[in-house]
Amino acid sequence: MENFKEIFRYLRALYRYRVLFVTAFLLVMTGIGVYSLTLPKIYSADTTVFIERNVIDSLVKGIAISPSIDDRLKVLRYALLSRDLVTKTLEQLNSQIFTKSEAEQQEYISKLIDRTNLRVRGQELFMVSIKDKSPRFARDYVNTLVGKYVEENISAKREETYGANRFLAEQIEVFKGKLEAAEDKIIQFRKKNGVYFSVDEGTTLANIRELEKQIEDIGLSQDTLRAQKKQIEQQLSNLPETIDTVTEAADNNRLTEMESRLNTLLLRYTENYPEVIRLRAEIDSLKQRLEQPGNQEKTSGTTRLTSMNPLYQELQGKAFQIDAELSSLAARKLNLQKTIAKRENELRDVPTTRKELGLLVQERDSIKNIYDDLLGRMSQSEVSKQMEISNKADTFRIVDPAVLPKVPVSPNMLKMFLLAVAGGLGCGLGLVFLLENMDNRIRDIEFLEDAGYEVLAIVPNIVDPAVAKKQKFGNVMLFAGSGLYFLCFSGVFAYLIFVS
Amino acid sequence: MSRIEEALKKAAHKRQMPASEGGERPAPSPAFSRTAQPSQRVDVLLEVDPLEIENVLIATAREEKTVVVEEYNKLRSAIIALTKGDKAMNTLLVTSTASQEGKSMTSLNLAISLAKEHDHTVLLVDADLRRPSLHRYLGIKPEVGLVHCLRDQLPLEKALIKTGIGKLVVLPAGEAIKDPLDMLSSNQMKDIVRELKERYSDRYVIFDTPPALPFADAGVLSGMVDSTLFVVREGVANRDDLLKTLADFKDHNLLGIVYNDAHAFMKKQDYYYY
Repeated sequence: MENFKEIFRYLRALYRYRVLFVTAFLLVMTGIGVYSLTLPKIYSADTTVFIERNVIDSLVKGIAISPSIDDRLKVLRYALLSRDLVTKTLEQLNSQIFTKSEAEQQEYISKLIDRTNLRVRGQELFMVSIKDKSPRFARDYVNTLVGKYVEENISAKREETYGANRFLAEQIEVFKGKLEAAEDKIIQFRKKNGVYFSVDEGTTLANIRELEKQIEDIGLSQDTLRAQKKQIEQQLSNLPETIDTVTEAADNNRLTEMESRLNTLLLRYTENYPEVIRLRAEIDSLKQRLEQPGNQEKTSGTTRLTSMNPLYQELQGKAFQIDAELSSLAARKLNLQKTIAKRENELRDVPTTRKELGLLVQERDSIKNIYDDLLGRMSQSEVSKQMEISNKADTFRIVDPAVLPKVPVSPNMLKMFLLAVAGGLGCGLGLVFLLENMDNRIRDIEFLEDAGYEVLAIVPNIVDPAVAKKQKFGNVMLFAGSGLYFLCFSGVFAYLIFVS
Repeated sequence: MSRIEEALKKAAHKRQMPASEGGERPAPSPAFSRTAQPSQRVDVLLEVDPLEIENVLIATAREEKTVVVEEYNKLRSAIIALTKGDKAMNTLLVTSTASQEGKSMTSLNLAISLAKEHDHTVLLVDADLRRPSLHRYLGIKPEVGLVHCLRDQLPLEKALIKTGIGKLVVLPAGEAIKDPLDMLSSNQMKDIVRELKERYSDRYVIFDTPPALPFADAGVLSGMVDSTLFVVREGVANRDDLLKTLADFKDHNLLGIVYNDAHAFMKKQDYYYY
């Protein structure tokens, strides 16, 4: 209710101040309209650049490395709108600005950079546009700027690829030399200390163990031999060097023995048993010998006949043999000990040499790694180079070069028209609102009632038909006139909008 | 206009038809002769052809029953109700804050509305000696008036003009004078007011005055009359001035306010509200 009252209040005020409102509206509208006609015409030219992603690029991924377009996009704004590029562009366009002072040039270029508008859409497109009073300049500037940028970019990319290739080639040469030197060093070292490298530590150790065991065995044999020798020496001391030779008694004894033996055999066997026969023969021969005088004399003459003891002699021989064996073992032991010492020496020397060699090998290996890496890169670089040469890498392509703009973008007549109407309406309404709010005259009975006064009657506005008629005529004239004026104004703008 | 309103209008019209017929009858009402002593003179005053009032603002003078007339009738009823009592309160002053607020028009319409009622005779005094206007509304050119009574001691009777509209008698200002304050505040004026009040004790005496904010006239006169009626015209008086002036009249038995010239937007709404 309160809101309605407020609205009614302002509607009434609007009606009351209708002449003022219409005048203000038309004046402001006309003012803005005329102003918009005096505005300079500004043309806009734009060009679209497509960032072409080559299929080959993804195919050769990992094989070739080409400079990334993405990196270029990141700095696109700075690269494209760099003072250097803009200056070059202006130079190419034979701009008159270079005839002016340095300060003016600086300012002009700064403003030009500010005016140049760059929009990047996704990863595929970017658009460059500029607004200028001269349509020709707008077109040429945009085209030249973008052309220059693309051209410089491609050559820079190519230069980068070639540079990388060159660098890799140089590095490969250097590392090749280093690698060869390292290999040579290793060969030299091996030659010098090669002996040690046939020795295996484990085997050497086992060898030493074996030798030690042999020495131990020799020791044992020596001990055994020494014990034997001692025993023999003891036996020798107990034995007489000479013994008694055989006597008659002995032959007799022997004869009896044989006879008893024969008797024993005859108990079991017949006379014809060979043993019996042989025994008889022997007995016979022994009896014959005993009956011979020569023999009798001899034996009776030397009753005690001594000769060398054979057992003693045998033992003595054995002792000599042991002595010889002992000396041989001692020699062998000495020999073995020498060998062990030599082997141990070898083992001591192995670690230091090996360490030295290890260092050399390590150095060689690291150089080799780098070298291999470089070789791999070199082949990638080679492919990249080939791609650049055959122009198969990602590139900028101008899909839509700027054309000569025919219609100015500014002032936008439709916009200016709407602005004029809105401005006029706003000013008129604002004026009415202001006047109504500044007006402190009584407009409603609530005010009186609120102040505590009784309103006895509300006499409505009494309309004099003559006055009313006149007022109506005035209203008609006012609205018709202003309507006609508004139509004319709109007509002018409609013409301008359609013509452009 | 709603159907109810139309019905009301029709009913009111029917009611008024016999009333106006009765009013046209020249015969003096028995009530009048019964109450007033010097009735002969008054009767004479009443026996004239009614004035033809051309002015559109004086809606009550015409026979049609418009919203305006209804409002004045409502005002009349309110005033009768407010002034009825033991003590006769038959003198009424009409004023406003600024000029051009419709004091004369209101006094005249109220007077006619009262006069058309059988029970009331009305004397309308044009006390606005600065810019008298009642005669213009009535379409008459009086040669003498209140000024002459005060200045030249002219008997009141000579200045009174019968209108023929109900029982309405008018005392015109006579002529415009530059500084009427002394004249209005004189004892003579007081005597005249008293005489009018007492002579027409059961009638209403309505004084039309100059605006109260620039001139003291209304203030002075308000001390001599029983009550005050304030006219406020939409879009004329400043709110602060209005409140200030109203505060001055609060002490002088301010009956209430007539809100004048209410415009269409508000009128209808408030009409139903009322």
